[in-house]
Amino acid sequence: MSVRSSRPSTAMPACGKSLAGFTVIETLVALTLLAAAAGFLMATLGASSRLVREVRENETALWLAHSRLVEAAAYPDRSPPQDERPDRYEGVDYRTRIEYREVSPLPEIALDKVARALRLIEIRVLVSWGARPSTVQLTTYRKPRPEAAVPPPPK
Amino acid sequence: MRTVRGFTLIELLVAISLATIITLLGVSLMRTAINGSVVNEEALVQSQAVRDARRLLEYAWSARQTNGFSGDPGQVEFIPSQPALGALPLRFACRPAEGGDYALWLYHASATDGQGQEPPGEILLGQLDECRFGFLRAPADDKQPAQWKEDWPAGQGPPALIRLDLASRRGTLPPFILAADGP
Repeated sequence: MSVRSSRPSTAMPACGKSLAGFTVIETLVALTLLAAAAGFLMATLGASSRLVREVRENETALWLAHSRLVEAAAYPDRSPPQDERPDRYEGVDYRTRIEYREVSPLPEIALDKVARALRLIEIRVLVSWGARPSTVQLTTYRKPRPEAAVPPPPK
Repeated sequence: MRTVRGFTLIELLVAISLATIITLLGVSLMRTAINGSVVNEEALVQSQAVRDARRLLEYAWSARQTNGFSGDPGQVEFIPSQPALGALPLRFACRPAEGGDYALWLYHASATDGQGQEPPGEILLGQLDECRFGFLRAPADDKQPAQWKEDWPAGQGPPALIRLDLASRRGTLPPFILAADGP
């Protein structure tokens, strides 16, 4: 027994060619693909901007470290010149730390066995920035002034 | 029997609305992309200009002669000893440029060209909101730190360090601090 509708179908005409529009699934898939493409484009643009920003921040930090190192090395056995301005550049806060220590010019010789005239002052500048801190570090060496000599080590 | 019917008004309106939303999203995306690209490009161009200006100032200052130095917050003048820069005094000056911004200028001779006219300079770095020189004075005694001063007395030798404070539209830049012998 066969059942035949008396009403002609608009979805599947007699010629076999569908005249129906997109289904909901097809529309959703298309929109999803469109959203994914847009998201990918935005992510690429965001990554590009982030890279440019990171490069600039790195360069600023390196430049700041270089300037502070030059400043500290001018008079290595005194505290560096006072600068009361905050290290905030182009909207980013940078933290600067300057470390001094006496070192032996030859690492295999202990510091207490090195004559005062041969000792060096190591000056290290660390600049960090960001919530998950990035850091750059620069180091240089200077000879201390003879008149600032510490007493020689006991023999 | 084949039924061929057009879109209903509702379908048309929905389709036009969707097309409008998608077009607006696309335009907004493109505008964001173009703006971001322009901002990035400007930032990179400015970084390069700052880098070039700093290198030139460092290069000239790294072997300056001990005579012929003068300085105030608006300019420094000294005689470099590098053959590439000649034996004439160089003057780096912070002066207004077109558009009301400040610029870092370079002049290749002393104050005038002999006829009372200042020789033309060239802009090393433009679009600055702030541009000012400073000079490090040696400490009076061992316990005092050195001091940055805004002026440098005429007739003295060059300071240990010079400093150039800059601010652009994007914000304050780290100072250029230059030593004759580098770090």
